[in-house]
Amino acid sequence: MRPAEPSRTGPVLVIEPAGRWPFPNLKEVWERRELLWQMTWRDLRGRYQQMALGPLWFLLQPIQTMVLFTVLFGWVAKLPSQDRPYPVFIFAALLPWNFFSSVLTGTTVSLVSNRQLLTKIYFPRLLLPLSRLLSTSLDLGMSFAILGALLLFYGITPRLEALFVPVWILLAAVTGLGTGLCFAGITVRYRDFAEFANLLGRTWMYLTPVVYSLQIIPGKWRWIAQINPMTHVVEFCRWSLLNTGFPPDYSMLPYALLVAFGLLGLGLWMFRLAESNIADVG
Amino acid sequence: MSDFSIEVSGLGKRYRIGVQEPEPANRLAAVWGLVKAPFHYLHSTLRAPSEDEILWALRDASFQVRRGEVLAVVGSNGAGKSTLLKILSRVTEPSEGRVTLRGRVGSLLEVGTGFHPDLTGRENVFLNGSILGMRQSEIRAKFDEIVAFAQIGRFIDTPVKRYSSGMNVRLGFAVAAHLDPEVLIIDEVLAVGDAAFQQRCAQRIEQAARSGTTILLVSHRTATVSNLCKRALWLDQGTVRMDGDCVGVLDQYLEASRKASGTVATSSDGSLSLGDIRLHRGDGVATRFFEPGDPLVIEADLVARRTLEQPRFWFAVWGANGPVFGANMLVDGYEADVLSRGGTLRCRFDALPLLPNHSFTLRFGACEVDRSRELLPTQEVAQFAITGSGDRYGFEGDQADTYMGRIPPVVLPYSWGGDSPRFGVRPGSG
Repeated sequence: MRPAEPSRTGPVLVIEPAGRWPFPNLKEVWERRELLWQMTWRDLRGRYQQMALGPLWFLLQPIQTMVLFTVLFGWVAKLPSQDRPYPVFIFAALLPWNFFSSVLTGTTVSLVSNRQLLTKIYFPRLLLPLSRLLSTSLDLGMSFAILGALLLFYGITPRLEALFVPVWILLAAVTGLGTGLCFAGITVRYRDFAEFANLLGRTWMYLTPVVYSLQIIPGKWRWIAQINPMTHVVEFCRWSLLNTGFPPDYSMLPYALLVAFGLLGLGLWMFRLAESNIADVG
Repeated sequence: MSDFSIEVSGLGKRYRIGVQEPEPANRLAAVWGLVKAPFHYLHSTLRAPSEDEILWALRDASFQVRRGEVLAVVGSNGAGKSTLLKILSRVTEPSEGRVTLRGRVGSLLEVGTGFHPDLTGRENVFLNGSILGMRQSEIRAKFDEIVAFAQIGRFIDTPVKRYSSGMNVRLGFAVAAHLDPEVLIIDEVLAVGDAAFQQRCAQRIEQAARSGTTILLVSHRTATVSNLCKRALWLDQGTVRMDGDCVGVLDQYLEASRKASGTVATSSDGSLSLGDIRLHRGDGVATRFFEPGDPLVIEADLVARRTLEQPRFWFAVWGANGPVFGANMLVDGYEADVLSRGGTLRCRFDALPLLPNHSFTLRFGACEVDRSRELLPTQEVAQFAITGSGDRYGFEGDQADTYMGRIPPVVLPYSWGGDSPRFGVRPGSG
């Protein structure tokens, strides 16, 4: 064993009660980024290790949803699709939406499903939802590959603005993470809250123009949909990727940003409150 | 900069415990209670807890641990040991007070937590190492050492779900053992697995202690800690009851737990109880400290509730690594014919052939009529330590002082010899 040299300059750690307005230590999260990669890897390997098709599931799941929605909303309900074939119309929206929804559910259960680990050892708890976010990004990458194939098939050329899609994906991540962090804390105390979060996630999808376009909402009600950050994400993705001729309306964007970052701030605070007592109540 | 690695001041942890609900008066009330349950639940979690709902698992604990010091924390179940451990390792947060830790901290509450069953041993070493706070480069550098310590061999690339529980524990401890922190907070139950592995775990902790690591060891068995620690902290019902020299604290603790739990010191049918146990050098002055060559006299007060036929007694002295010597009426031909009411049992060892810097645990047991009926199961009853120098054995100098505490504790007369001219063995000059 390497002799532990008495360091005069070693790190000093002070442990105190959390106080009323605790906030996660983001600096510490950054210092432990190596663990973040390790956890992301654990997530991915764990998920696909024992499956016959392995990473192919990344592809199958979004395709299945696309086919289902195309039949239901495109063919049966005949919803207008901004002059684009319904499969691409829905897929361009599902791409950020699936990402958002899996960040949301993953973050919601991140504390509860790792209870066994959390009661035994300390590490920045925020790494759990963050690693989930990263591993989900891989699914997103796969979805982009499918979209590329669809665009080729239908002969659609994306706009140059599509280069900014990652920025909007980031907004989806902020919204999903923020909401999930709020829920994660509540789920520690009330286990059944995870079910409620699921329900809310599904409802949220129908409140967001995913299966339909924003245009079918009457003008005077449209602002309600537009304070939802996900509306902006979906609208931008559709417009830039499918070159639809329905440019996004940015008039309500500041409010949507306020909602997204407000949720993130609230979520970080609630998460911090929850992580301080998961070992006690969980 | 302060010389303390661990400073704890006024530390407390409050838990909220449930209080009994009033019984419903009739069926209607019972149904109504069920309907109200969710609201009642919300109400009870939102309002501040009342006095009888609060349990202080730890309260007003203050102590300091110097750099390089090894501190044992002892106490019965529910004394607050685990709570202290959890706070120090940051698994849970204190309700009041403050802890300052200086230096790189490694804490081990349980080995192998965070192992992912589907990942291979190799992948889990990296994952687990990261969780414990090691850098990737560090793990890579120590990887071979870790695998060798765990004795996993070629199974390192097999998913850990196919490991035996022993392999799991070994690998978990191996990773943790290579953390090399400056402050180590450790739960003694960690030393699990077969006897040989347990010994290696203990050695590893000992090694860390010697290389200057500050260690806080929460112990459940008193026998093993006394050699590792100079100082012990006794927690009782959430507060620090005693803090001081290891042997003294352990002895008081053992005595208290003997008194507190009547069952331990009393035979199952209540016919024999052990009262006070005293150790002295033959002069009647009770002590815990002996020097090499001192006589050891043990006096045990016994109370018999009925007349015992041919009771047999034994003492055994245990060192850190197991039994060392003893006195046993089942083999030595001594007998006590009858014991009625009670009395004092005395046992004298004339000259202790023991080395300084070792601590020992005294065990005591009794049976009736040639062991056909056990009276008192063998149990730890006292602690003592050997101090002073090794002069009596001719062990002198700094080097001797350094090593005497690390070699087997019993000294018998011996001599060395050699037959080759180039392998001449002679007494050293000093």
